[in-house]
Amino acid sequence: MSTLRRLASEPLVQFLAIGACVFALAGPAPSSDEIVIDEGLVWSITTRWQAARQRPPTQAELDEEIAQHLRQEVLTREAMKMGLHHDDIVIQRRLAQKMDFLASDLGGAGAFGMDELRAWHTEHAELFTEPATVGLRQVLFTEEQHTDPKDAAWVAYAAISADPPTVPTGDASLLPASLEAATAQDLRATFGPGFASGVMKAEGLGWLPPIASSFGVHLVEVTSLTPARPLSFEEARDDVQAELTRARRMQAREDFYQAALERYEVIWDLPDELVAEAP
Amino acid sequence: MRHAHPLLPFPALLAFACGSPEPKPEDVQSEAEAQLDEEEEVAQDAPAFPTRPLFGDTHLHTSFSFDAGTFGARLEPADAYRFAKGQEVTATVSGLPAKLSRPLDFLVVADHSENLGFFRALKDGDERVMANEYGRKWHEAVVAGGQASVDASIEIIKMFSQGQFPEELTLSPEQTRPMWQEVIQAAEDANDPGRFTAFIGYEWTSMPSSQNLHRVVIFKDGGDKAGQVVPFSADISDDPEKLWDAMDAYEDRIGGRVLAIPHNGNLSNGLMFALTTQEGRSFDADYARRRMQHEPLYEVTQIKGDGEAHPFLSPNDEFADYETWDVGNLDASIKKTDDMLAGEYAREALKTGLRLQTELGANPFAFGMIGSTDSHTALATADSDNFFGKHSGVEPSAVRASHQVISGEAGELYGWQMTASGYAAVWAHQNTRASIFEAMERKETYATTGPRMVVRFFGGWDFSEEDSAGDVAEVGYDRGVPMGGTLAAPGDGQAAPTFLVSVLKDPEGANLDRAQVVKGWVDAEGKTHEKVYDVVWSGDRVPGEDGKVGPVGSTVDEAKATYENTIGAPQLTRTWTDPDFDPARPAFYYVRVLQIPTPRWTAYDRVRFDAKVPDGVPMSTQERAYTSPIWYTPNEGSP
Repeated sequence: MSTLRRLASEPLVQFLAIGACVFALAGPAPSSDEIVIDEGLVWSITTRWQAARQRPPTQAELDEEIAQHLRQEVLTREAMKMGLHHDDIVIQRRLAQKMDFLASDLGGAGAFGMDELRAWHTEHAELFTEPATVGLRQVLFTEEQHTDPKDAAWVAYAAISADPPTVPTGDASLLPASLEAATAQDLRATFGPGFASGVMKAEGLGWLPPIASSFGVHLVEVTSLTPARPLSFEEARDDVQAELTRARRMQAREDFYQAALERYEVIWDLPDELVAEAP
Repeated sequence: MRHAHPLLPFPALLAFACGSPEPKPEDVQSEAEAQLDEEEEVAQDAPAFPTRPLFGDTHLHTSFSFDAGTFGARLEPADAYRFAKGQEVTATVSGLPAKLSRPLDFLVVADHSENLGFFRALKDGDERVMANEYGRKWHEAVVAGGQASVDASIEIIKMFSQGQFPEELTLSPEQTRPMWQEVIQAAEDANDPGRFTAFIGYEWTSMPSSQNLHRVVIFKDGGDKAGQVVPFSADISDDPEKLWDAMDAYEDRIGGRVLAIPHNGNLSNGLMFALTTQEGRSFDADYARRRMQHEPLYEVTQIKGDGEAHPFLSPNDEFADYETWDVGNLDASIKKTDDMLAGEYAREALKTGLRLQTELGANPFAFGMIGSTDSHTALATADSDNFFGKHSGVEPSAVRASHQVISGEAGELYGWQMTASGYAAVWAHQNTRASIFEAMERKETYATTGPRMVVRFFGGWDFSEEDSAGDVAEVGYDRGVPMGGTLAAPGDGQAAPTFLVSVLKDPEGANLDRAQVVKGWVDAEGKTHEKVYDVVWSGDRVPGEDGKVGPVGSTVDEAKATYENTIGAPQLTRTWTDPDFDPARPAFYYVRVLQIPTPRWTAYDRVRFDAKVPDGVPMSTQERAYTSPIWYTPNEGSP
């Protein structure tokens, strides 16, 4: 980890950095009573207008937008001079939200080092797995064709291991006769939950004893079995990056808050019965 | 003051000012590219034809919709996607854990574009809100919660739909941009090509005089393209042609693809399938083609009633009166009259389309069909035994059935009238944005009222009875066209079209009663007709002299909310030939599938919550599916 990166992940440094940025944004002390209407403003109004209405504003519409902007700017500054932004729940919430965004951006964005990604992948291997799959062939015994489809299935099952063996044929069905590499979720979507869990219990290849579904009773031959397996770092890299970004953002947000909180003395002045309820 | 460009989001500004590690535009681009790469990687394994239908909801609201939020929803798009993927979330008002029995394959979060995010401002008591008399009142009601919040919501919707919504409280499209970015981000995060598709979308909420013309707009593209526009708002125009203009502009300028799906013609008082444009012009071929290019599908069933058929229009169809909402327009301010119905229901519109096609040379109503929920809870539920209601004020409870949901001069609609419906089934090759979107464009879709039945439907000229004995897909695609298609011209000696109809029950649901073919046609005098054929049914029922098969019976125990699969069939399949075919007349054919009767959601509520359900409220239902039609046009040519 580079010195810069380590520094950048220190909450206090982040706080100072944000402070510096906010200052840089606001520019030199906002004492000036200048309001600049320039091409930049026109550009941003036009772009917004274009996106909303699929056409640029007319001159009259542009004039109106600029007038509104000016009015809002003047009133906002007057309001701030009068301190109206203090104790305004909406403004406070919005500012707190922006700080949260800023903090999480500092923490999570950007490219991670390969070592960092690999370490994260190793630590959280359970998040990055490929589900087990089976390949199968199935035949169905229905109530329409058999008075006791279960019995018919057992008879056919016994015949598989008889000498000579008989491969069961079953009844005509709209269900797929074979599937390759199906997950438990795939099986459930097509055959229902009982069938899926019955097949996923298979420990080896070959014919399974009869399994019931809401379509009838099935004989299933497992033709391939691929157990769930952890994804290698190369396979999971995109997901690792996304998960790590998410985790870092949440961490940065929390770190930042905790660091900032330490700079305040919080005075709890509550009657005893309310203390437990306090945040 | 140093002028800051308001367009740039705050963190981007920071990056600009300080060179922080915020991703540069190239990084954003490469993220979008990575998503595309993943789609393409998955696409390499595409099967020759779709092997299983993908089930999803194209029409779900979250708390970002101004009405959903006021009704009490607090769940956001990210929660909606998590729920659709099969994870558990907590329903807002009831606090009940909510989880689907099985995950969905795709989801479109379609929040109202108008005032997108208004609810957040209302809840927070935004300055602009508090400066307005209504805003203050509604804010207080929302903070109070419960019935006060629901009442406020009803008032908001009413004023909005009457065009009386206070102008000072209306967010401009541009002011909704931050929320739109959040909508996009949630979809991008949830999208997982090959496993789960999260579409970017919104609802355009046009309703002149509360006559419902709403359309859900769906993007094929990712945030790199969809993020370059903001949703088109009915505040700018309530004319669908203007929406199409905006869609064209997006496609031309940004190079993306987008389609619109109308819904709730049943609350449009005849306007949805009116015979003139919104400006009052007569239709012409250009209009017809333009409409179908932008709106290939119609959402035929959802929470606010079923829109396939109406008993007044289809008096010979004993199943036409299904979850019918025909009191009036969206807020029941204008009473419905019989002459409005022809402009409201899908089957009638499909028939009218055939007539217009003979007159104009193009069919403005050649749409395919899907269902969706239109839930305002962020919970895409359509199962009767797991139904979370239209909005958060009617989440499962002892009293929701007797709640008034709409009330106006024309009449009232009550909670028990909500329909636990529906989902969109799409025959896509793969579970990706591109593949599902393309299947929607070719109308290879069907609507279900909730159950995940597998319905295949192919039309051709030489299908035999053996062709429908097993899996019909291979022969169907090889020698015919699937649902949504148009029959090729017949060959020599081919006298009538043949159809493969094949249905599997929901593997976790009820057996099937029957599959029917609904045929519509127009005669030489330009008069339209319809006929419903029972094609294949369970058991040994014998059709009567009128050709109709009697009821399947019922195993529903209403007091216990249970049923048995001891009647009906798990699968139905048959090859059917049109016995009344006239090669000179245009026609369409679609399949309607009926399940055996099962308990309606009201029965489950009564058992679970000891709910007070008014006398006479239906306690069982026959859930169903409707496929997109297959069209026949004399001397070929697409409709």
